Amino acid sequence: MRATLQISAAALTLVGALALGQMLPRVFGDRLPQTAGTSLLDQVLGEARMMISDGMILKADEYYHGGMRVTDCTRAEAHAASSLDLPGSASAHVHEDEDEARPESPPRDLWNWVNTRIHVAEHRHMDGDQAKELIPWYWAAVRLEPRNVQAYLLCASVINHDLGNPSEAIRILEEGIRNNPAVAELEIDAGCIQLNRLRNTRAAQACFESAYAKWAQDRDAHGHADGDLKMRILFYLCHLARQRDDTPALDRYFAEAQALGIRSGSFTAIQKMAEH
Amino acid sequence: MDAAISIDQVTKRFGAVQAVSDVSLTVRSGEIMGFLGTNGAGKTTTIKMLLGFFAPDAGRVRIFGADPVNAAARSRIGFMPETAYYYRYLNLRELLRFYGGLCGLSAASIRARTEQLIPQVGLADAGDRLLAHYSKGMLQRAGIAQALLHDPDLLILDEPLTGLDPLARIQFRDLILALRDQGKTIFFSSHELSEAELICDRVAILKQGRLVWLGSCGDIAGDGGQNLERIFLNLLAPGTPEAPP
Amino acid sequence: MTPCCRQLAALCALSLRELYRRKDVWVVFTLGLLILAPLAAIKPYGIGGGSRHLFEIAQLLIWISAAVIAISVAGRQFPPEFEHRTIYPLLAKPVSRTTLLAGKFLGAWVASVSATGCFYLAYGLFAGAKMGIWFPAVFCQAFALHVGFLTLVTALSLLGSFCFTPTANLTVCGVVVGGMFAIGQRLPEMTAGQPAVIRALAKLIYVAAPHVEFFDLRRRVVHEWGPVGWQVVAAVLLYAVVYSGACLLLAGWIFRRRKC
Repeated sequence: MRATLQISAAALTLVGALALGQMLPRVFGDRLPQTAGTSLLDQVLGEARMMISDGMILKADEYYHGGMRVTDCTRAEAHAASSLDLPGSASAHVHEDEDEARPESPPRDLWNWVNTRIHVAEHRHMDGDQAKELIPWYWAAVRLEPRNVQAYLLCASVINHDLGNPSEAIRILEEGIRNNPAVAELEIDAGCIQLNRLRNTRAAQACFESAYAKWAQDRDAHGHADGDLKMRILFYLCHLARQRDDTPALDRYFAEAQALGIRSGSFTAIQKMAEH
Repeated sequence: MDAAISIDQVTKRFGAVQAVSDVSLTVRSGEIMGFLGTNGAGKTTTIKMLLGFFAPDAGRVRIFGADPVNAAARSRIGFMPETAYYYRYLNLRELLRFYGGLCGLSAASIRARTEQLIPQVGLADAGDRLLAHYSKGMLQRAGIAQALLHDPDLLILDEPLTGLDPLARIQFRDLILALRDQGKTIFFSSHELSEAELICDRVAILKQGRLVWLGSCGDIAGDGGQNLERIFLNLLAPGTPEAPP
Repeated sequence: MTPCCRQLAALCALSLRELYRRKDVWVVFTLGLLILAPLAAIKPYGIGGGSRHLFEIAQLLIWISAAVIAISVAGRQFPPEFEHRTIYPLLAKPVSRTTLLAGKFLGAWVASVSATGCFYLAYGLFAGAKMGIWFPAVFCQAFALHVGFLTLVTALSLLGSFCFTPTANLTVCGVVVGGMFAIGQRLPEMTAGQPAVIRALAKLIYVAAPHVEFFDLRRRVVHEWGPVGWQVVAAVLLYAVVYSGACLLLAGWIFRRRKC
C-alpha cells in the first residue's frame, strides 16, 4: 500500500513537472530569463560560438605556417612583401608583428636551451595541394558559427587559389551568402571568382550589383558605410561596364567613386578606365 | 627447544598512547601460542613489531634469533592480517602467484604450492573466481593460503577466525593442528576464547599494553574448574587490578 | 632469475593485470576511435586528402589518455593497499620497502608505457597508411620522449600518493602537468613586469617544476618537421630519469618512515 502510494506520488510529480515544463515557456516565454536558441550549439555555447569559430581560423593559420603561430616564431624570416597574411592570397610574405611579439630578452638558461631545440622555432608556408589540410578547420569554423564571414572568405580563397577549384569556392560563398544575406564582401569575392576564374561576366555582374545593393542597404540602415568596400565594388562594376562599352554606366560609377573622396589604387584604376 | 619468537621488554608508544608496555614473551618452535586481549590491548601493535613494520621504542624483538626488519628473517614468517580485502581484480590462483613472486619463489614451485593449498583451505571450486566475488569467510581462507604459500616456519595470524562459519572454524582448527604436527610455530591473536583454549598450547593475555597472564592450557584445566573465559573475565573486567605475569 | 627480479616481476604483473582488468585502457581506446572515426569519415566540401587535423586530434587524445592513465595508475599503487589492508601481507613478505616501491613504480610505468605503446602503434599504422611513411625518425623520437614523460609523471604521482589523498593527488598532478604544458616555457616572460616576490616565485617554479613540455614533439610529428638531434633527446630523457629518481628517493624516504 505504502509502496503504491510512493510510486503514484512520484508518477504524479513527474507528470506535473513535464506539464509545467511544456506550459511555462508558452505562458511566460517573454518573461523567462533565457529564451531558447535556434540550435543546440546556440543554446550550449551562446556567444562563445564566434570565439571558438575564430579559434579554428587561427588553427588553419597555424597549419599554413607549419603548425606555428606567427607570434611564437623566434626567428624572423625575410619574405617577399604582401599586404595580407592569409593563406591562399600569397605564398610568401612578411610578418610585421613578429619582432613585436618576441620577448625583448628571451631567458637564456638550460630549460630554454632545451625548449628551443625540442620545439619548432620557425615557420614555413604551405603551398599548392597541401592547402587541403586547412579546409577541415574552415569547414568546422563555419559549421560552428555560420555567421563567421571571414571563415567563408578564407575557405573560398584557399579552394580557389591553392586548390584550383573555383566552382567549389563559388558554392561555399553561396552558402555564406545564404547564411549572411546582408554581407557584401561574400558577393564581391563570388563576383571576382566568376570574373577572373570562370570568365562568367553575367554572373559576375549580378554578384557586384547585389554587393552594391547590400552596401546601399547597409548605409541606409546605419547612416554610414565602408567607403573602401564601395570603391572595390565600383572598380569591378567599372571594369565590367568598360568590357561591354557601357559608357553612361562607366561615367556614373566614376562619379560615385569621385564622390567618395578616397584616393586609393582602386580609384586611380577607375579614373583610368573612365578616361579611356 | 629454540625460540621462534623472542620479545624482550618491548615498549611502544604512539604520541600520548602507550600501546605496548614492557612486554616480554618467548614462543617456542613448534608450539601454538594464543595472544588474547580486549580491543586496543596492544595485540596488533605487538604483531606489527614482530613483522618488522616498525621498531619498538625500547626492548628487542627477534624471529628465530634475527631482527624482523631484515627481509631474510621475514622469509620464515607467514602472516595473515585481520580482514584484508585482497585485489578484487585477481582470482585466487593469480593472487597466490603474485605473493609467491614476492616471496621469490620460482614459477614451478608457486604452481605446485597453489594446487596443494587451494583444496587445503577449502576453496577448490573457487580458485579461478575473481576475489571480488568472494565472501568474507572465503577471503579469510585466501588469506590463510597466501600466508602458507612459501611454507613458513612461523605463522602469525591476526584474528584468523573473524568471519568464518562454524564449519570453517572446525576446518581451520584442524588445519592449525596439522601444521603444528608438521613442526610449524603458530602465533595468533583472537577474541575467540573457546577456540583458543581448544587449539593453543599456551596463551598470553594483554591488558592495556601489558602482559597480564601467560600460561599453558593444561594449567587452566588443572586449576580447580577454571577455564580461559573465567580467567579472561577475572583479569580484564573493569576495575580488576593488574596481575603480574 | 634472482628473487629480487621475481619480486619486481610480480609487482609489474599486478599493475598490468589491474590496468587491463579495470578496462580503463579499452574505454579510452574506444572513446578515441569513436571521436576519430566520424571525423575521418567527413570529407569537408567534398575535398578529401586532409589528414593533419586527424593526426593532431589523435596525438592530443594520446597525450591526454597517457597522462591520465599514468597519473591514475601510479596514484593508486599505494593508497588502496593501505585502505584494503593488503599492505600488511605485502610488508610481511621478504621484500624490502625499497624493492616494493621500485616494483610499484616499475609496474605503473610498464602499465602506462604499454598502453601508450598500443596507442602509438595504432597511430603509426593509421598515419603510415594515410601518408605512406611508416614510423619516421621523428615519430620514434616522439615515442621515446613520451616514455620519458610517463617516467616523470609516474614518479611524480607515486610521490604525490604519499602526500595527498588519491583525489587530491590526481588534481595536483593534473594541475602541475597541465599548467607546465601551458605556461612552463613562458613563466619568466609572463611574470617579467610583476613585483620581485612574484618574479622570484615564478623563477623557483620555473627551475623546480617538471618541464613536461620538453617531451612534446606533437608539432614536429603532425606538421612533418624534421627530427630533433639525438643528443637533445638523450638530454631530455636524462632529465626525466634524474627528476623521477629524485621523486622516487623522496617517496622512498616518506614510505620508510611511514608507520603502517
